[in-house]
Amino acid sequence: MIYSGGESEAALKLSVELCDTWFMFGQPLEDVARKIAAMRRRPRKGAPLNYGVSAFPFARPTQSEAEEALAYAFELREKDREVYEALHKNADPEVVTSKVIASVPGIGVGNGTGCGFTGSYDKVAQRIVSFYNAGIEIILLEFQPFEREMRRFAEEVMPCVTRLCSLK
Amino acid sequence: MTSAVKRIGPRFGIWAVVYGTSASLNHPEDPPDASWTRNRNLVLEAEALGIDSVLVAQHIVNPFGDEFDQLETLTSCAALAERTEELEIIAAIKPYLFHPAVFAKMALQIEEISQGRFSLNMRGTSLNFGKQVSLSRHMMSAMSTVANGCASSGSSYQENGLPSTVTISSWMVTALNLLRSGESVL
Repeated sequence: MIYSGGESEAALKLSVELCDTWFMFGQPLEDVARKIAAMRRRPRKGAPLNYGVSAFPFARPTQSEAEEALAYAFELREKDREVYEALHKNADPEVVTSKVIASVPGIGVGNGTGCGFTGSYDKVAQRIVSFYNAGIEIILLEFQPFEREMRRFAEEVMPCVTRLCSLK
Repeated sequence: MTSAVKRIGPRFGIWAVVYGTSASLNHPEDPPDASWTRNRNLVLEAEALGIDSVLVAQHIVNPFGDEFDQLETLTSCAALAERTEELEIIAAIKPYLFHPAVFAKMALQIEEISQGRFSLNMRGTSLNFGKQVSLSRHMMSAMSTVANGCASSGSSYQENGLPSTVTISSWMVTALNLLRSGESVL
């Protein structure tokens, strides 16, 4: 399986012509849906292209606990400001994907908070299903603390997603 | 890709913590830890929890600073391939860190170790040299040449309209110089 990423015209062409799945950085549902629709209009040989997105979920028993966790993550991120500024200074400002990310500033290497998977377990599961319905076949997850939150996601959110998808 | 029976709905993958967890360097419960042991345990637990894939990003030095550890991609993918049973292992590849012939051979070896669970994610990068996506395209062409058993010498790349070995060498020198000067986020 060959994946690809990036939003420059060159990257989009490469994805449609030679790859199986196109990964997007975390961004709102409307943007993801629009970009998938645009990719589907491009001529392609063979099986249809699949789509993936990066996500950084904050799933908690209640909406307010999730929002608190997200706010705490941004607060912690503020402590890293200098490191991130140095990192971005070393990158090429003309990289198209970096501009996309800058328009939805988020947390995580995949800018995963851009997907807005923040809320109660049910709500996060519903958001995930709406991305799935828009054509997202794989979601690449990040957490912090990674192990603890991955466990919680697998135990609380994944079964909800399966249930919602089987209801359809 | 694994042929295991799938749940209904999207597949879920995780980003391996190749530089430690990427969100914050200051989380009291999750300080930077990019060690093999941590990554291995994380991925084994992910597999046990029903996660479908792991993506291992590729950096040669830690972009957050030289004082931080950095997990190497392909050697770790090979080890993960041996330790896991069902998980898809995706290596995110920056083009031309290896000569395509060498890379293709290593990728095919990991594909064999994993019994068909190895995937590649071809990236452009934030690296400030060259046109990375064109490099990815060249590298994929060169790799398919290797996979088809046709690559015998450097010169064949040029005949196929691919970059000459001299061009590749100059890219590698540029990359090495960037690494040495510490100005790269490679």
